[in-house]
Amino acid sequence: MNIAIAGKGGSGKTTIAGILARSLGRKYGRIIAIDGDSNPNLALTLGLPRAELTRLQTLPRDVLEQTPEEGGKTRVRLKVPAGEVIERFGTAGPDGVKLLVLGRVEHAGAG
Amino acid sequence: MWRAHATVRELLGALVGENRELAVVDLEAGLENLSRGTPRHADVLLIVLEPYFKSLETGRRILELARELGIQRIYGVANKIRSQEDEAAIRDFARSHQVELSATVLDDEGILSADRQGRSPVDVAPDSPAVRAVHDLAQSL
Repeated sequence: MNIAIAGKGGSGKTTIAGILARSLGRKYGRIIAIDGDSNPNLALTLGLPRAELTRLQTLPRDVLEQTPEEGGKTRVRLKVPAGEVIERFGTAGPDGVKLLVLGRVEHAGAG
Repeated sequence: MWRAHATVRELLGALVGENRELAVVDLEAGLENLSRGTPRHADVLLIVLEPYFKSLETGRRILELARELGIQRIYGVANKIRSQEDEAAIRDFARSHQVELSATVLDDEGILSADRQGRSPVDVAPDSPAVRAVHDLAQSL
């Protein structure tokens, strides 16, 4: 089961996501938490130690590839299996949480 | 940013297809991720709603897009509730847009305290009403 959390900026989305991930992790022993925000804060709400926060891995862009499809369209897909992405780039947190941070806006106007 | 959106979408698709992993995804704020189909593969979508017009208006548009994407289980989560009026505003919204509320989370001191300390509410205030409300939500999914 995967659960996505949406809302306006500042609505407390990340707080809800963090607490929910911890609760589910405690219940099931293992859970993947994905931070899809360009200003990633989920690590804090999940309770990762401060020392970890500054050296969190983010997902490199080359895990995706574009493949051409019929009619001149392209399709974006993962180059490596999702399980491997999580093993390689995930950070372990409390209650069986494995955090995957997708990206961070490094420079204004980039990307 | 399209790559990040595509990454979430493909990751969710792969997680659903490959190994049925349990995952929680904190989507980018706002609507763009929905218009790009980012949570297409989500089993459950939680829309966090604050009792203000702008938040509810964003929630309404998210709800529309999520229904277009065909997400089966969509719930509202009332957040930062400070009064009965706050709660009533969200209930009215839920009723008029035919969306079920899965939790009502109070704006409590535990959350504020955790925010100030830069720590998790689960560690700072495990017994606060807000943490308990989300914990109950987790049990209900």
